Amino acid sequence: MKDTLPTDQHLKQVLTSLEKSLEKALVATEFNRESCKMKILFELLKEQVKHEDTSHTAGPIR
Amino acid sequence: MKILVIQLARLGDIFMTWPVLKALSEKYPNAEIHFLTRDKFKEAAYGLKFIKHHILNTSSILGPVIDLKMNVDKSLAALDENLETFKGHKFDQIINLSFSPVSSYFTWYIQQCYGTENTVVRGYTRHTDGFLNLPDDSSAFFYSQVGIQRDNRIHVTDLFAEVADAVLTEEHFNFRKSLPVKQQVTIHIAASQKEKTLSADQWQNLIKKLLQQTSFDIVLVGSAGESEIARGIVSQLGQDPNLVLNRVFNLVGSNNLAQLKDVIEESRLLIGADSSPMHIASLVNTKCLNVSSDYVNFWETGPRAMGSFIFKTSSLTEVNIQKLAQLAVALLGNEILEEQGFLAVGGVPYYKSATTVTIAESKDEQNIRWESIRAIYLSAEFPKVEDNLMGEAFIRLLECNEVILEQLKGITSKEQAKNLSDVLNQGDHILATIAKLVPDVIPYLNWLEAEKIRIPPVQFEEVLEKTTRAHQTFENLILLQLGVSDEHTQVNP
Repeated sequence: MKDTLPTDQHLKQVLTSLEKSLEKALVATEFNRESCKMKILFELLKEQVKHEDTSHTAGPIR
Repeated sequence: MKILVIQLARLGDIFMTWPVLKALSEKYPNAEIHFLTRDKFKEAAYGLKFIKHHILNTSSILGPVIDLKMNVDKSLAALDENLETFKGHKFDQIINLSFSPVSSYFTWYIQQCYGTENTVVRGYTRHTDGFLNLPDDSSAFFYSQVGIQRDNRIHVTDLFAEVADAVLTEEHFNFRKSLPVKQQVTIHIAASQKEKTLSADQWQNLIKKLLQQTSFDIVLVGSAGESEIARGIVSQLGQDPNLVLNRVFNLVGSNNLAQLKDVIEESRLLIGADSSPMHIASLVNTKCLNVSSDYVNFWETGPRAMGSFIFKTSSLTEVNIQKLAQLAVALLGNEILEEQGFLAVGGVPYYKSATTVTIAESKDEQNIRWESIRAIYLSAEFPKVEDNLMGEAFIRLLECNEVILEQLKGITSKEQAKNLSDVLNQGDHILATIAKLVPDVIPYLNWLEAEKIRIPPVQFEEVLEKTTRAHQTFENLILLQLGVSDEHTQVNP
């Protein structure tokens, strides 16, 4: 896969839908290695959608 | 001993991590130091022979899930395959210097898989319930006060060192190869975001003036993506018959980071925005003329070589290029500058105003929010409240905090806490509203927020006790600020 951000509107919609299903899956699971991996995937996706992979972006609060 | 340092941010952050890695290798001479970066920015770790470099290929992880088939399992498997780079290692320390949500999850996961129960974790990670964990005071400081639109003035490299529990000396910034310094000025014509730098026309104008006013060669640097801009600049310059173009060397897109580091080391001066070449200059002691805008916080990420000058403007399009050329000439001649801007002088903050004249933008020099941060975290004196509105805001914060403390005092059971959660949330909301109306109190609220985030998932009684203590300390801070209390306790030593 090319290491660039998705620009196509359709792909963004796919990502948004995936974000939602990942969020649902995470709510249903207690935090463990598996859910942590899902969270990593989810956050990486969020970076792609928001074009963010910088520092100084504070994490989500409790 | 094995130490893993995680840096998942961009090129500039990786270069700002170099001195910390060097300091760690000195502090723990027998330790194996491992360093994790993203594949996209792996080149920025090329010069670090004393570390074991690991690369995280986020594209290979995201590829299957971004594919239209959305293969989540394959992505999760790729994630583990990436981390197999740590197979056979058990880390004694894991230090995350990235400060992003994703890095906090990586840190927790790596600790679970490649740490032990005694592994010391510093920097953002997660609690056992998945919430953000700020395990050390420096990370809590980072969370509360660091970033654009914040008022921190401690340089990020120094903060990285604090998080890593390492002490930096001048020698830790020395990555020079002892190359001879040439009669050249290097100009970085772009930045990670175009809003952070001058336009092609402005650069062209500046180069023209430098060619006319100095005898130095001009070297243009930048990434391959910036080649077109550079070609345009050179082509425009070529149309002026009075300019000697053989003094302009366009290296944009043609050199790797190792070569770029050499070019910067050989230069008398680097001119550019807050971007990776500027951070490389800090490692080879090359003075910079940093053109800085509101898109960056130069106090945190400005150049480190002593005598570097920060030309701060709120409008890059309106920069006086003649003025910029004069500054460059003065810096090349090692003249003492008495100009509107900031000089790198070392210490905390690392920069000071280059002019003694009171200027319209003096808020950059005297900032009550920074003074408050110094008082809260560094035991400095609390700034005087001369603004009635600010004084009023502190009184309101105290009143609201008192109500919250009263409510907390009355809680005796988990059930009761649930019933009162609306009232407590409302209290937090009012505190936030006061800060929105009077932003000068923001550092205090940010401190309180981080302290509450730091409360781990423990028994209800302990959560209650820690929450109460955070609000009591908050009250004490405001009383100190108002001069009502004189018991100055450093809250985050």
